[in-house]
Amino acid sequence: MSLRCVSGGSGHVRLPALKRMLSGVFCLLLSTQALVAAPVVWDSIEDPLVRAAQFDLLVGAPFEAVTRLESDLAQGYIKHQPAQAQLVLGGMYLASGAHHKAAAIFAALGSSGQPQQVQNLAWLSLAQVQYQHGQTNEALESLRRISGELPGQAQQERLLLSAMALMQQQHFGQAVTHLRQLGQKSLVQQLSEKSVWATYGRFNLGVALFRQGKEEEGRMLLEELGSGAADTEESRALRDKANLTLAYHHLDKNEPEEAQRYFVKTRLQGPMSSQALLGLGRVYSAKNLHKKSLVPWLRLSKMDASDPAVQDSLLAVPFAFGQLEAFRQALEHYQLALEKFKSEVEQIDQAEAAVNNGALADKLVHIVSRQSMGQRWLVQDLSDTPGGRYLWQLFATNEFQETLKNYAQLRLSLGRLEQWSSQIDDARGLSPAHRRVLEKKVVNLQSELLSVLDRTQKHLKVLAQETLKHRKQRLLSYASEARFSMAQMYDYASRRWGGEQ
Amino acid sequence: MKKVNIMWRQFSLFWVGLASLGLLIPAMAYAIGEAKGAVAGTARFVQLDADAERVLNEMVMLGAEMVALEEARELPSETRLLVLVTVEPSPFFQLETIQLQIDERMASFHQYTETELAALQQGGSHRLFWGNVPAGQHQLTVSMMGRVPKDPDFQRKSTLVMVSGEGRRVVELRVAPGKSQPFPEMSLKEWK
Repeated sequence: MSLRCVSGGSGHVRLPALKRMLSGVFCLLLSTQALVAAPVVWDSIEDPLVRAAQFDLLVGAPFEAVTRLESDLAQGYIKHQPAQAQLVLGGMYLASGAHHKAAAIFAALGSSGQPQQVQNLAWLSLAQVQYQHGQTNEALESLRRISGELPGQAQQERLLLSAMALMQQQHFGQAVTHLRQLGQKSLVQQLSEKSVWATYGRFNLGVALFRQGKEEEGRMLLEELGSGAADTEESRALRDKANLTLAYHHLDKNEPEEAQRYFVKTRLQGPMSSQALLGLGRVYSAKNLHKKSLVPWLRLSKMDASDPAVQDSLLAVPFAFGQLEAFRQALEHYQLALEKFKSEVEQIDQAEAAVNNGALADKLVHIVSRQSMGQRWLVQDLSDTPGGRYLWQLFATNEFQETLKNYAQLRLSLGRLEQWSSQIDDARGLSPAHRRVLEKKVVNLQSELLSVLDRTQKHLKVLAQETLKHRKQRLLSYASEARFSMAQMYDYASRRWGGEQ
Repeated sequence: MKKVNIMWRQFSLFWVGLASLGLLIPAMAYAIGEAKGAVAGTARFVQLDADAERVLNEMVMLGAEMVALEEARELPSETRLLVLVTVEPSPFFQLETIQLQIDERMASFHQYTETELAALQQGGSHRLFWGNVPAGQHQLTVSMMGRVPKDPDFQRKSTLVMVSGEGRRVVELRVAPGKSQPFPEMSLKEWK
């Protein structure tokens, strides 16, 4: 089965291959988000009404969960541990994307006269929200306000979140200190535990140690990660990432032999395969084994040409032929590269047309209508949208996912408002004044919703247009480069052999 | 021949540099373009995200009002009864259905899906019954069915007497691992 992503073009992509690639990319996207997306494990929620709201959330009805809990709180039904209810409420707002509201709840709880444990959990939750939204300084400040140790997994999350934030601020030494506090056990033992936090922590620590110049310690962690057993796609993608990190580290230090050891460990089917093939070719090229460099580069050049690494290989192959003094093949491959670049540009033009005429928006609406609110959008679901071959990196971004989630919720909200409007009309025993107040609220909200919905749809369109524009610019630059190299070759040939011919 | 080799070497070196630049220059231009677009896009996103959140939060608050309105419309506040089910995880017992009778009349029957069972295991509480019970004394009888090793038709029954008419009542049905594993125990508790 093949998938034609843009009608009329010549590019066909194997659907399973694309989905695998997208799946892997999404896994790696999660690798940066998982650290902040994992909810705090609440030790025990006593009030059954709070637990009922939790049930709604867990069965995929976050709007019902949060409205019922707000209603129960407003009516004074939550009598047991109301602070705990606030923590859960903040978590629910966070799950539905309302991070400002969630942050406000956590900040209020953190500064309240609640028991220290409740305040601590609130500060940790707030730090997670802040870190997720790029407020690293604020996240560290919130973490500093935690007093004493947190229970169980929360303490592990606290230390790793601190380390992540410090690493983002280039404070690698302090980050390592935090990671070393993870337990009484040795660092490797601690980080070897089967916890997603520990796994990502181990990878990030390895990278941090490298940047600090502590190569041996960094290498030890990354090597362990790169050669360990991996039973999920997420862990396999992380293993590839560790091997690639080591490989490119050595390649940049002009140590091709060492780099090769790690490149060959990377899967040739995974999301990192194109980077591995490109790097392996560079290894051979650095060793002046140009014939061997052609093996991975030629293989890569036959893969989906929308992948930037594949585009690099389309220029790398004729370069290698040139090094082998195989000028005819070099010219042929430059010509082939030009044709592929031209074909890709044409397909981007068609994708741009699909975005401009609303086909992308229509597809998104279709996906939105199939999904229930609160679910995380999967990149795979969007793989067959118009221009999906060029937009999957955009689809995997936090900005796109969040905007799409808002778009979905806003559309669902329009339906809810219509339903509420009917309920208000049918409500008996409602005072005329109360009815007028509710009707006015519905009308005002409808107007605001339509305005934000329109802007959200336009923003999604602009994001797609900008991405396609940049992809096109890159291809046009590469095409110019190929033409220039060909001209240089003809010039050389005419100077070298022109007289003889 | 020597001249040709020197000429080729010079060309080769030039080409190596050119090819390297060829791979770098478009990538740099691409990266600069990406960075510029990202700044403008981020500003738009931050504003839009805040606006969407504000409107959606207003939706939540109106939704909470609508929940209260619906409850007030359907159920007199003095005689409301809410029965909730909570389950403590057990490696032996698999809950399947729960039936509630009020004064020997069927009030609710629920067959649990896998998603609901997972939500219960993670600390969620299922609203089994949410309705109106006339003022006075009532007997609540709960029957639980499920599977335990060697008994695929395991059943338990529990009763509670409660008084309605004095305000909203909340009753929790708790299923927990029993003292004699693998059989679970069931208890009814009124929250006041």
